[in-house]
Parts: sequence; structure tokens; C-alpha cells
Amino acid sequence: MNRAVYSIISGGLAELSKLDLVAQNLANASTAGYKAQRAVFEVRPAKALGQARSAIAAQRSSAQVLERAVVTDLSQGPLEKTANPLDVALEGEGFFVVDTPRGLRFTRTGSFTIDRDGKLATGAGFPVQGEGGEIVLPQGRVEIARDGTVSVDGSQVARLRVVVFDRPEQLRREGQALFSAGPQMPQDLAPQQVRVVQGALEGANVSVVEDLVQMVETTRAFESYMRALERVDRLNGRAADDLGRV
Amino acid sequence: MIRALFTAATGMEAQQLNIDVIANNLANVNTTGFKKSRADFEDLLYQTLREPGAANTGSTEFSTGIQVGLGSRPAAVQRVFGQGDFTQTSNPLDVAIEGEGMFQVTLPSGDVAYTRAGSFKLDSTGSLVTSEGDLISPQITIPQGAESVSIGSDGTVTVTLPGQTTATQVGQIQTVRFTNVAGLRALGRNLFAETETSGAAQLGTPGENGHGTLLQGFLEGSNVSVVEELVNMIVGQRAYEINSRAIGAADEMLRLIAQLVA
Repeated sequence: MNRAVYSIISGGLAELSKLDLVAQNLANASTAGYKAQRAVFEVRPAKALGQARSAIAAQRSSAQVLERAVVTDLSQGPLEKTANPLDVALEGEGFFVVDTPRGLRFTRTGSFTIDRDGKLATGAGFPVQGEGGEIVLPQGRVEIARDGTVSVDGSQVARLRVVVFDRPEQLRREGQALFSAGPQMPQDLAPQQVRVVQGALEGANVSVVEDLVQMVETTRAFESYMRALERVDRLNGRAADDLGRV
Repeated sequence: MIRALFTAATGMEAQQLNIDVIANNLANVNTTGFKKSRADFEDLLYQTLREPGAANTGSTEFSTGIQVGLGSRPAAVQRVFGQGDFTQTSNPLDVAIEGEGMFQVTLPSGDVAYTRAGSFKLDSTGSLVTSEGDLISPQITIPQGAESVSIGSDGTVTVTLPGQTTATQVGQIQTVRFTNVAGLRALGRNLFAETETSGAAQLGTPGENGHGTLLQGFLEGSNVSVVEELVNMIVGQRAYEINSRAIGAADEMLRLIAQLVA
């Protein structure tokens, strides 16, 4: 009897964590450079525990739904024009590199500013890395070319570093739109493969429709689990009442 | 309890700020020299239930981890210093800056502030002041009885005095530039103040070293695009609604749990 209860509860818990991710995606629907999260589940089927003996079936473990992983959907978000010369978006793969007190971090959010020392930095003040380290911008009109070359008043100053990873699915999310690489080494993308768009930001790649559908589905699925739990509970109650009477 | 409840609440709060910023932009659509703002958001902390790349067994590892995000938060309200539209006013004391730069004014407190709104007036002593009565710096005084005032693209102010045929230069309007203009602090009343992140003000002559040129008889309108703001407002409003739905869904699930116990 308990097997059914545990199977149902594992299903219900899975729906709860699905809803957490849906809420996370929807809360970040307007966060530039945000990448949607999806949960991956697996079903561990019921297994016989030990050998069946003549007439008596073997004890079976309950089937379980397990959260296998939360994966980041690294697909391209829509480019939104901002007309701000220090806003840059990446088209296609790659990450910008920023220097934080905790070490190098990687981001798709290109809403850069200039800090008080004239360095190109993120909104949080972390310097953006070029091929030769930090990028110091002299006064003037900043132009960022498609390959990431930064020029001020027509003269080249630096080139934005854009990196890719062998296993981007293992990047760790840190919040503040930053990813950390862990033991992986970033690889610089060749200039002809870099596609930087100036004056635009990459919007979140959250599909609001998809997440709303998932939300409805999750709520309903959870409801079904709870109904099933009620039914099992009722059966157990009857078993206790009726069988006890015989 | 359910993370989703709080996550969605952070989303609603973020969208509320978004709408606040848009409302301020729209309220200032006709404000001279107004620069629009934009709310930027970032994702909040992640709860790491399992590290990406954590060891599964001695020789294998989980290819992805389990990290659950806990919502979004405002990262910055960034001012966008794009050029506003020019409107011709034919008022000789209206000056617009075409390109980078700001006028420097002295506040009654003695502090220095900066503005893009060039709708200047004269005070009782003939000094050039802003609509609020703050003196522009360096101070420029128009002599009594001057017949015409002309302001050149480099800021040179010349007047023609009665009975004279040649114009007399009475001063030069100078503009300032900043390394990081977005780092200025808005004081309201069209004024901005220098901060550590904006860098020090660099005083210069209009038209030189990247300073924009001056345009007499014109005013710079706001750089708010009504269409863009309205679209952003619709998006923000819908995002708010959707986040409130997520709260509804979490609430519904909690209700189902509560019913079980009942």
C-alpha cells in the first residue's frame, strides 16, 4: 500500500519543482541575457526486491519520479534595440568575459557602462575583458564592430573577448547574469565567428507561452496526484475498516 | 514552502519598478532636455541542489547539476543619454546642444550641477540663468539695453549695443563632458550632479574635443519615444500579470495539499 503513496508523492514533488522553474523563468522574462531553465526528470520503475517464492510475489519497490537535472536552455534570445552605444548583444554562441573579485565569470548580458577609471564594465562594476585584459576607453564615440573590435573616434582600442565552452551545460549559474566555468577552460572564439551587435541587448529566451502552458499543465498534474493520493488514502481506510471486521 | 510563490513575487516587484520607470519617462515626454531611463534586471541567487559536474560514482559525473533560480531583481535604472528632438523656438536665449556635452550651472547653495535644458532667461542683473534661476557657469551677463544677442555654435555670446554697428563679445558658454555620462546622479529639475562613477567634469569649448556644438533658437526635447514606452508598458503589464498567475498556480497547489489534510 505504501508503494503507491510514495510513487504519487514523488510525482507531486516533481510537479512542485517544475513550478519553481516556471516561476523563475517568468520572473526573468524581462531580464536581458537570461537563459531559461528546464528540469529533466526520470522515472525509476518499480523493481522486484529479491526472488519470488512459489505463490508469493516478490516485494516490489515503488516507482519513483526523480529530478535528474536542471538544464539551461542556451538558445538565442531575441535582440532588442536600445540605441545605447554601450549595449551589445551576442548573436550565436559565446559569452562575454568579466573579471570579478571571485575570478573570471561569463555572461550573455551586454549592458555595459564605463566606470570612473574609463574602463568598460558591467552594470555591477566588473571590468569587461578584451583580448588584452581590461578595456580602457578614451573619450569619444565608441563603436563596436561585428567581430567585437572596439574603436573610439575611429581608432581601434581593443577587441571584446568572446569565449565558448566544450560543455556549456556544465556552466554554473551565479545570478547577476553571470556563469562560472568550474574546472572547464574557456576557448576564445575566432574573430570571424564572433557576431556582436552594438546598440542592442539580447532579451531573455523565455517563451512565455510555453511556460504558461507548462504552469497550467503542472497545476493540473499536481491536482491529479493529489486526487490519486486521496483515493489511495480512502482505500487504505476501507481496508483498515472492512478487513478488520472479518 | 513553495519557492515559486516567492520567485513570482520578485518578478512582480521587478515589473512594478519597470512600470514606474516607464511612467516617469512618459510623464516627461515634453520636458526640455529630459533623458529617459531604462530599468535593467538580473537573475537572483541560485539554490544549488547539486553541483554541475559533481561526481556520480568514482568514474562518472553528472553532466548537469540542479540549480533552481530564485527570481529576478532590478540591476540598475540606467539613464539613456541619446539625443532628443530639436524644436525651433526662435527665442534667442534658447540653446540646444547638438552632440555630447552639458551646460554647467551654479546652484544657490554654491554646488555645481549640469543640465541639457538650454531654455535660458535673464535675471534682474542681466545674467544668463536657467528657468529655475540658477546661474550658468562661467557666468555671462548681457549688458542693459542690448539690442540683439547671438550665440555662436562655439558658445560665443555677442551682443549689439545701441548706437554701435559692430557686435561686442560678452562671454562664452562652455560645456562639460564626462567619461561615463550614465553615472551622473539626477537631481530632478533637469539637473544632474557629478558622482565618482561619472568621472570629473571636463570643461571645454563647444565644437572642440568631442564637445557638441550649440544651436541658438532651438530647444532639445526629451529623448522619450512614446511608441517605444507604450510597447514597453504593455510588455511590463503582461509580465506582471503572468507572474501573478504563477503565484495563483502555486497557491492552487498549496490549496490541494491543504485539502488532503482536511
